[in-house]
Amino acid sequence: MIETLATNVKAEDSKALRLKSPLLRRFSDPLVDSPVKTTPIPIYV
Amino acid sequence: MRVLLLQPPLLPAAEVTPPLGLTTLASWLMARGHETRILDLDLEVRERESAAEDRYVPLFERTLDDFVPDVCAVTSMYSNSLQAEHLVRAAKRRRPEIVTVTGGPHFGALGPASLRRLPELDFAIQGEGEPALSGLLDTLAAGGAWKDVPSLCYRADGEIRTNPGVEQMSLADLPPMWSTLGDALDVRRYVATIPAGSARRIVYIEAGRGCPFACTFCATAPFWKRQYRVKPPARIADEIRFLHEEHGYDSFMLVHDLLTVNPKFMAEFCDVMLEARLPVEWMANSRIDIRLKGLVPKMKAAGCWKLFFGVESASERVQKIVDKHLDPRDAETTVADLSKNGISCTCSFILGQPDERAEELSETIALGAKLKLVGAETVQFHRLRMWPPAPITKSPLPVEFDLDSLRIEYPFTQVPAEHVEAIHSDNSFFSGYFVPETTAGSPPQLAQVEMFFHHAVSMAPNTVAALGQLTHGALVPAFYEALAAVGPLHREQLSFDAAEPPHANWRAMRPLFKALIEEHAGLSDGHKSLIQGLFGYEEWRLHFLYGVPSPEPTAAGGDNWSAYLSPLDIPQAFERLRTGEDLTEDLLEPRLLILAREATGGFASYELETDQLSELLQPDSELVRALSAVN
Repeated sequence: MIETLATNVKAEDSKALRLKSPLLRRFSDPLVDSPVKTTPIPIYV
Repeated sequence: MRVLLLQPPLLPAAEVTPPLGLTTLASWLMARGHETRILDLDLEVRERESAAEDRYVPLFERTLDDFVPDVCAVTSMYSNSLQAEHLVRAAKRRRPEIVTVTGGPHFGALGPASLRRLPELDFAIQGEGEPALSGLLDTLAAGGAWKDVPSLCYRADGEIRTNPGVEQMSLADLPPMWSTLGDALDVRRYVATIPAGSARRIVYIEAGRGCPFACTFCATAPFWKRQYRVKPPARIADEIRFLHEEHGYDSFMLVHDLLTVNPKFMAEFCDVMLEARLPVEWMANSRIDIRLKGLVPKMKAAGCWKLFFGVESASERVQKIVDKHLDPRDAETTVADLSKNGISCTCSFILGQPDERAEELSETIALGAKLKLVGAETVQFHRLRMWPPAPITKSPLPVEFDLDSLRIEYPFTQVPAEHVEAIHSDNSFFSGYFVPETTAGSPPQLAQVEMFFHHAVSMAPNTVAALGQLTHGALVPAFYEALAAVGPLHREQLSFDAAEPPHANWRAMRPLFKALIEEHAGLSDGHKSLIQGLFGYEEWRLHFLYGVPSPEPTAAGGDNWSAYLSPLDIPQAFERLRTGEDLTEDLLEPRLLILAREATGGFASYELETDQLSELLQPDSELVRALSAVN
């Protein structure tokens, strides 16, 4: 059990490292974080 | 008695949810022993181009023949009242002995006028429908005097009479919903209209009625006599549980004019939802000046994913005129605070108040775009409508017929000339399509503002926010100039169906958007370059997100990523727009931008130095391998 958890943590760390790699610098784009949506005009929601 | 409750065609959208007013009425009547059916022609009629009556009247006539009701009760939202009238006439043609009744938002506000317009209509119910309709049925069944039925409009001695209403009911007296509907309505048919792969399976449920505020444009607050009422929290949770467990709905619109105005109720409702431990989410209506700060984390934990705000205008002057009295500056902080807590929102604005200036409308559009940047999921722009019993409808304002607004809202994408004529010829009954004259623009211009900026803010909010900043209150006049040069958008060019990818809308709007930026916004060359840089990125992004080739050239690409060479420092420009700093020409620095599709289905945005492009063009480079690993 402990080993499985450790493996998972390692895999997550590895992915986080890739995403945080200096090779790839993230920037915030509100539409990428939350893709475009349209809403029918007459519906007030 | 046998009662047929009737919903005329309402919206040309693929997804249909059960008609909430009629389902509530059905459960109320069934609990009193009346055999009740709902015929929802919004569900039955899916072909929505032609508005010909032969599309839906024969379906209604077949139901009359099969179910043989004693009473046919028709509701209407304002936009489908003409269809409601066709159905009342068809009912009397087919079965002259049938009793016809109307109610709901439009007929329920204009009961005597409905009877004057429609000789085939026997009764109209004003305001709250449940006690009045059951009272009418009891009187029809057992005999009695019409004068004893509350809120009933009827003919007697050659005149039209209206009975006084009674005290509005406690919503705790409503019977349990949904589980008691039996044969009245088949919820599974609504579930079947949800497009495959939808992120949310959405349905409306009633949380309560009534808002205590007195905004001049609002018809629903006076309809419910500005009295705030709610269902018991446990009852709402029971409805959610039933619809989730029996039908798989997982997202609930808690219908109430202003649910959050009572924090005590909200806290109790959240407690009930936390205890219910259901894997669902919900949304509700609020105001940007209702301080929910202490409650927000609890609301999030209890399943709140979104709040709806009527922000209405960026102008404090207009806020005062319409008796809404919001401080527009609260909008940004409220939306950003909610966003930090993981709650999104819809922000809605009203265009064309009588005294509104084009400059104020420009600020409103810019605020809408800004809110999209700080966390609003959806920003809506709506024309002012003069629907009774809104306070503004009591003012003797000069008005004009507004055909464009009618086209935007109509249940069918084509509006036949005879329907236009019928609506145009009765400006007291169809007052919503007669808009007050305003200095903000003519009715056709404002309809274009509504259509264009609704979609432009949705697809390219940074570009619109930047236009708002750099045109200094002249965005709307510049838009009118572009409109005059390029020509108007047509309703049938645009889809308002959230299930459809937005590219066709973008293509329809692109010439107008380009003309606005390049020729009519009065921008210096440097500012024009800034806006063009934002527009190019937002156009490229829109196409990447939906997997469609972009008109903007892609610099490099892989299976799950695409790179774009921008003439503008997009990340820095976005940050300035978000924080309200000025856009200046020092932002005109090229950047290499990358969008990548992640394995989870989400997206990620990255920035690189432009000299890294050569690495992106080498399939085995470390950079390309890192990007592929995002997937």
